[in-house]
Amino acid sequence: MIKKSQAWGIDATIAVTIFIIGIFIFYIYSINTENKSTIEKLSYDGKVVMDSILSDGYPLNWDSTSVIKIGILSQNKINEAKLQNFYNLEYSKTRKLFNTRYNYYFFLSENMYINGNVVEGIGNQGANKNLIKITRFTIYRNKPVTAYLYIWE
Amino acid sequence: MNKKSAFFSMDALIALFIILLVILLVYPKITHQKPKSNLNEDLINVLSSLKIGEINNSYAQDLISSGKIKDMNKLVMEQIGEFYANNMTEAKFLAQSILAQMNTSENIGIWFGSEMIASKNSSSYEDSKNIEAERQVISGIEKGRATSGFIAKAWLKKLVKKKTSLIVRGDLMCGKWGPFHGSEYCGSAVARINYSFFVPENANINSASWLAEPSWISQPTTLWINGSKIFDGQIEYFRIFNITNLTHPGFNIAQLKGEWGGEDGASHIIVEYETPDLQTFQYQNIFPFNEMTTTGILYHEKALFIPDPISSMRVQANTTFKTKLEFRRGSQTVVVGTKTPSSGLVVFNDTEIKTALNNAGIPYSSLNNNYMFFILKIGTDNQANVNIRKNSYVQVNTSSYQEIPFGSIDINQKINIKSYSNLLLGDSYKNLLWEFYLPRNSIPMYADWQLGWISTGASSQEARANSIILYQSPPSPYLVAFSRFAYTNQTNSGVFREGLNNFTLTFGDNYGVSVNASLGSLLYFVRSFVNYGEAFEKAAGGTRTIEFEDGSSRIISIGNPADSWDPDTDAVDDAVERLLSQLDSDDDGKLDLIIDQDSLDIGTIDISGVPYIWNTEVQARSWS
Repeated sequence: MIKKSQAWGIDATIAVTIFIIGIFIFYIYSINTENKSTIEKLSYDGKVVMDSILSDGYPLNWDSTSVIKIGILSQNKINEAKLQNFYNLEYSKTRKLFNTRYNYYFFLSENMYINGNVVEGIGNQGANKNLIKITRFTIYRNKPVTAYLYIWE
Repeated sequence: MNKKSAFFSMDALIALFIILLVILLVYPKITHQKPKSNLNEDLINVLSSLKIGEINNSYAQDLISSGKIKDMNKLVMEQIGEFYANNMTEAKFLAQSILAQMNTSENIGIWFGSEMIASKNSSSYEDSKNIEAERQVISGIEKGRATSGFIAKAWLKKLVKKKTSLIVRGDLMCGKWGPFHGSEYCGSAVARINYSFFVPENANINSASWLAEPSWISQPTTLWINGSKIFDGQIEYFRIFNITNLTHPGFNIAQLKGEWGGEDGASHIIVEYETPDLQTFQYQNIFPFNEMTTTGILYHEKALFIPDPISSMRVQANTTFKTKLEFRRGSQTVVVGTKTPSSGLVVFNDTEIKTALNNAGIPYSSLNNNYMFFILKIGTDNQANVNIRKNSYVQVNTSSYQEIPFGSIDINQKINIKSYSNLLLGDSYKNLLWEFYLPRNSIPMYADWQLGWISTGASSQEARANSIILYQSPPSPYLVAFSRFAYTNQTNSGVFREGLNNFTLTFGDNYGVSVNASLGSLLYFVRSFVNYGEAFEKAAGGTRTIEFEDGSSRIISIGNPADSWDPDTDAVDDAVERLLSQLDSDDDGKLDLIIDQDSLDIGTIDISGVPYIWNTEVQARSWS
């Protein structure tokens, strides 16, 4: 009878080990999947937001009251009036218009000028975690420039 | 009990192994692809949105200041394209300077055609594993070609007149056909032959001649044209008669009466005429026999050269006499059949002809592009007044036929003999060379020879076109009557070529061909237009004197008559010159076709305004 009792003890130990390993694998799998999913969502939202910014917007001559879609281009070049309108919009409103729950920051490889003042960028500068950078080319003041968008959780 | 315990442990280990295996298999294998870059598309957009005159780029400004860039309204991509076409170094520097203004850590480059002209990269393109490209075609740009200026095309809308020829070829025709020196030939019998021919109603006849070659040497012969007697006497071998004054537009009849026989197959009538019609060629499927009366057996050969695939044939003889039909190709003769007339007609239908030829191993498919002969033997020995009347013909239908290519002018012209050597007899030689010229962009239909042959015994025979052997005996059979020879492009590639062409006949010791009684002719199409050519700095036109083969000349003024005639710099002048060279049938600078300035239409395009004639693909590629 003693020997029998010992046999059950070994079985129980192995079963517990297997259970722990299973839990561990499941944990690692869940963490990775969640992380990848967030990056993909950020990438997707970043692309959508950048596509919107580097478009004509809607209506074509939108302003802060009529805006439905934010876009700062006219004839493939940055329209300074639209850029100013974008700059003047409330950050929270722009996020709604972009339909994103993430934070963003838009800037160019050149300084932007709004009402004669140098502006480094538009949006929220306080990056936190899982930051994604989107890079595009456009034309600002007849100069080929690079446009950047940071987007993060 | 120990064993039982071990058994449970083993179960657990196997279970653990299975769980791990399942996790490994089920765990999704996701390959995260890098999101597609928009930089290629953006680069193309930037280059095709900015004008070169407005771009904020110091290198571009320098080029403008130095005068290398003249058109400020050109897009940057068009300007790079213009440099690419004419000045590759500037194209590379300008593109590189623009690319340098763009900050990116991605590898990116600009390609014109297959050539990378600028790049910004940290790893080489050759080592790339993943490439993305955005494409755009820019018109009016091609490496080495002008990107601005004018181009022109020209076409003939009408002719003042075209010089062409009507050629009526005779055939071997005579009476009392029968054995002759181991073969068969004409007997001594009076023969009356009518040759009918039609000259277009709007033709202006320049010259007409009749080469008459009777069946027998020194045969007493009488000739008429349209009822007017032109000769009555003996013809030794052959004789050429000027019949210009007696030939007229419309139907004409030439009559030959031979006291001892008819003709030997080398006779022909040539009518050279001018017509304002661009096209005179007509598809023909009815080939008439000539009218003839003689003493039986009446012999009438009909030589046919059909370039297109034959689908059916029919032979009809309008006669009241028993008629035998034979078919000959090369040295092979096939009897199709003998019939007595029904309602004054003897008809051999397609089935009868096809069956006879198939039985002899000659399918229809082998007949086109070779001369073939239909032979009528009418009446019986010494039967008087045997005849064949109008409405007698060979009908050959083809499954397809060559139509005049759109915008073409057909030219039918005589091919002159260039040289000959090795005399056999009289004017017959063993080595003969003909030459003819095919203008640029012309389409040859066929070259055709009717040969006045003479044989003193079996001999080697060879025909070549542009040195390509078309007939060679041996090994091919010896042809007693080397009377006809023709070829097309389908006969052999290379028998026709743009520019100078030649045809040679070479015979052995016992065979020769008459240099005067033989006739070569060429049918070809010339294009009546030229398309847009190179770009030139202007399209002003000018005044030019055109010379014609008949010795006349005309002055034509196109566009601005005061402008100098300079085809090296003027698109209109260039187009006219290209068209004239296409119409020059022998490359001597003189035209057979008579044209004036109303004949010409010129179309010009300002390619700086409408740049779509040539193009280059521009690509922006990124790679990693």
